[in-house]
Amino acid sequence: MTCERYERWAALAASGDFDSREQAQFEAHLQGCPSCRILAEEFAALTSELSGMKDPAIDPAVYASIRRNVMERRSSRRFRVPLWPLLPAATAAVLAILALCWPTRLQHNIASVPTQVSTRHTVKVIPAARTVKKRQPGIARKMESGQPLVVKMLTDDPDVVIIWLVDKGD
Amino acid sequence: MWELALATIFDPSTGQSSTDVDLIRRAQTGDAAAFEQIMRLHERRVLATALRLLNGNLADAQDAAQTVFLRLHKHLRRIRADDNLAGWLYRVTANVCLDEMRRKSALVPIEKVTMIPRATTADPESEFSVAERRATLTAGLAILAARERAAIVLRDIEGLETYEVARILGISEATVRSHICSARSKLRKFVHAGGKT
Repeated sequence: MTCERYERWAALAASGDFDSREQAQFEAHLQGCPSCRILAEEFAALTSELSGMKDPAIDPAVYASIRRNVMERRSSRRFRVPLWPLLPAATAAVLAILALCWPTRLQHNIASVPTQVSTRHTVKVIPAARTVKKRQPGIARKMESGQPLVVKMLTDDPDVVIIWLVDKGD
Repeated sequence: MWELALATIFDPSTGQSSTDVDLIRRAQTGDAAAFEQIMRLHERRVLATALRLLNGNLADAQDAAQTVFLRLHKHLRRIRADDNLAGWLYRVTANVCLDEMRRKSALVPIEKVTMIPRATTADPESEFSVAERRATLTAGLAILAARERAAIVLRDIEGLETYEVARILGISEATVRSHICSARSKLRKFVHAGGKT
């Protein structure tokens, strides 16, 4: 193992981030390698200086300012009513309303369908053969010759016309 | 939210105290004084960590600290009183700062660091030397990749164990060791070069 590879160990040795086997191996190497020993001492000094930087001398007014700002913003937040606790109650209320209304609406719909259809849609059965016979003798001739009967059902909606073809053979 | 997956980190120096447990319980009932007391107890670790992670930019670190404490307030009810609040705060601080670093991804000149001088020795020359060297190290932290910086700040400056850093950053211990090794090597070279890259 070259000294170059020991640099990593020297860096870690400063904080003892080793297992015992590596530690023993590294210490054995240091016995015969003055340059690595110096390197290890430098890392140890560096680590020691860094640990001395733990408490930067900060003006107490800075801390006071942080506390003041946090407490002010905290107070403004307190008046905001949190809505999330109401969510389960609101959901339950909506479900309850739906549960109450759903069967009624269903029954109402089932009951009202024929009524609505009968009131909203006027079904007129036009005797196609007669009408056609009067106005279009050519078509009447076709019917007599085995053409199907055409029934037109008109509804209130002018766009909806139901055409019913009836085979005369039926 | 993944931030709410509270780390169960045991650390005698930063672990949960009975004071924290009591304060969290009181704060959860809306006790403003208790919440303020929680901030007082943890503000140093939050602001100092943010300051190191954000290249010594105090204004950004202040914003980050405020964001962290507002998140704490927002999620206070979801935090169990016996959870490790310090671990949670480190985790959120690291996340907020890493987000900010990604957003900015620009180096901040060391002149922007706003700290008041602290007299630690009677020897002014030695004091200057220490201050100068720390300034160099602070500048050196700025050249590191975001994850490397986060690892070395939490491991070497904040003094957390490797497994704690791994949990806070959501990475494996092997990756933390790799980041730490790389960061220390870069810092050593930076210091050797007299603070030049």
